[in-house]
Amino acid sequence: MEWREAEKKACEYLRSLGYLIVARNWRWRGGEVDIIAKDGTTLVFVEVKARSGTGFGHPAEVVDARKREKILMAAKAFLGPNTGRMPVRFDVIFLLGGEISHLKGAFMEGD
Amino acid sequence: MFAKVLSGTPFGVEAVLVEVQCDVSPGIPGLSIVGLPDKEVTEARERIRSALKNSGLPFPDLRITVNLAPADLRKEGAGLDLALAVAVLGAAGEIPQERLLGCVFLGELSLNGELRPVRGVLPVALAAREAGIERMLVSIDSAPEAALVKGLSVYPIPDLRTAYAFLTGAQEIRPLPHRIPEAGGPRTWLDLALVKGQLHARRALEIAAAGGHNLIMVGPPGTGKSLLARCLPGILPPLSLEEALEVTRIYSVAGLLPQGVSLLRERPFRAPHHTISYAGMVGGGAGIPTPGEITLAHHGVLFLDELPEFDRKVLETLRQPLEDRRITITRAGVSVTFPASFTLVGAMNPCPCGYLGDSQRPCRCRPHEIQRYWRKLSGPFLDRIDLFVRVPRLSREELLGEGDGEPSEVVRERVRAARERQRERFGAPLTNSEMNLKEVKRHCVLSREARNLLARAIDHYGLSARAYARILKVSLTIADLEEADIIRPEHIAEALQYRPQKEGET
Repeated sequence: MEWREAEKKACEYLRSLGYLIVARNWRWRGGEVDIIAKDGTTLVFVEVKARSGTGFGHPAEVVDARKREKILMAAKAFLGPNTGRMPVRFDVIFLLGGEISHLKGAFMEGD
Repeated sequence: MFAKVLSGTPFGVEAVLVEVQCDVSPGIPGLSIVGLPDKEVTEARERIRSALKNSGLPFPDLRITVNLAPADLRKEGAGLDLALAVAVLGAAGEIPQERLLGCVFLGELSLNGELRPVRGVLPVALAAREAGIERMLVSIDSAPEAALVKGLSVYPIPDLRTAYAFLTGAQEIRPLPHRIPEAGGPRTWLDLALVKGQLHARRALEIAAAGGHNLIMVGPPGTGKSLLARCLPGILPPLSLEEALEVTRIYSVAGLLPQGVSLLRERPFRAPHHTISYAGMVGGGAGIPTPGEITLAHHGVLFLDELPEFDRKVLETLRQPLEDRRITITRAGVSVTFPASFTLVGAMNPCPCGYLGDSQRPCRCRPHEIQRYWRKLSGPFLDRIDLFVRVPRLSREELLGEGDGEPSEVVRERVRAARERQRERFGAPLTNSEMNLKEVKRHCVLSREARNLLARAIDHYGLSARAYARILKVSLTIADLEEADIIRPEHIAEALQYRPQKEGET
């Protein structure tokens, strides 16, 4: 599955949950994040990972410390002076074959 | 939101209550712990998160800041885990703050949310009572230890889920009633009935027990020095409750309390190997110092086998605790005082080969080797030893005979009576060995004949002032064993036999 397609699927999935998509492929300096969405009042930064199979390892293994750092940086940049005004969460969505799994609160700062 | 939860951390043989303050705010999710946590406390972060998740409890997606007060005290151990988890739940609004008041939480969390026992439960429980805290939540294994403290409701908690249910009022838990066990801890001693012959050494052991005197046994290998030493705790009077609590507190802090034992009621017997380090002997280590062998032997016996093989520096450090009955250890910024009131029993050979003066085998040592061997024990160290006794090879008849000596029980009764006399004399549970010069003068009443004998001994042996006081102390203990109020010549004569006699010196 191509990454564009995977992200589209992930957005559809999030919308089906009632999330509001705020931005996609948001990047700033060193930081980048696939999807920014709103779950009620919570701002959610979502990383999307897709694999056709587990041959190259489970997608969960791919969100390593470096990747998390990039997402964190993007989040800080996106929030700017609004940091602390609203709850924030970091999610990871895996697409493995045709299946979607959603890891809410997958990590936090300092992991 | 903000929550405040109490816990405790061991400090020396005491404990300090720690206030776990937790604040959550929206923002980038994260958990940071401040307030001088050590590595184990910092790692609590991972345990708490997993434990909450696996207990089906929410871990808030919020910025969590935990502060441990007082901020200048180093927090050690995983015992703060439970308090941290409860504080996070409280700050997230899952547990009402008023349920957290007046309660101390102590326990380590495993990843699945189970509560594990930690060291230092008794000191924390005592500190809690001192501070007027009424409730304590601990693991099931730790609960009997906390229940030694009267006036504290101890709630045994299996896991985090149960703690949550209890604190939200969803589940009732009955507090463990206050209980002091009659017995506890492994037996530390052997029965004197096992010892064949060695009447002289048995007698010295009895005097050592009665007056709290330090003892050195000198004899060739295999004559029963170690066996005799192991009999000593068994002829000492049983620990009083107060002493038992002191001993238990030490072992609790050191993490050496055997599983299933809440109160140690046997006198400790410690026999460290001669390769022991300075810190192992007196206490120390990284961070907050932990108790050493002399503290683990508190109210019991410290047995040093092969005495001259010990590092000289290690032996010299014993001088101060032998005098003061406690030791103060100062490390970068922390100073801790440990109790160390023990009876020292040393065993050694008369010479490096071991057979000097033996009836069967010749000694192969050269005079200067023997001198060097004995020189490892310094004068000031030997000054603190009241009793010296030879433990010679047994004769064939003694070896073949049955162990026919008195059992420990009989000896213990005499020791108990002698100690009772001393308690009345000093108005406190002190022993003759702890007398200072003034007290020696006041309490040692000699008959005229005894005074004459002592005067002759001073001239004959050239006794120093210190040796003189030592002989008087031992004489008083011998008199106490006979329930005599006045020291008679035979008491002095016996005490003179136990004065130090170094080999290889003219």
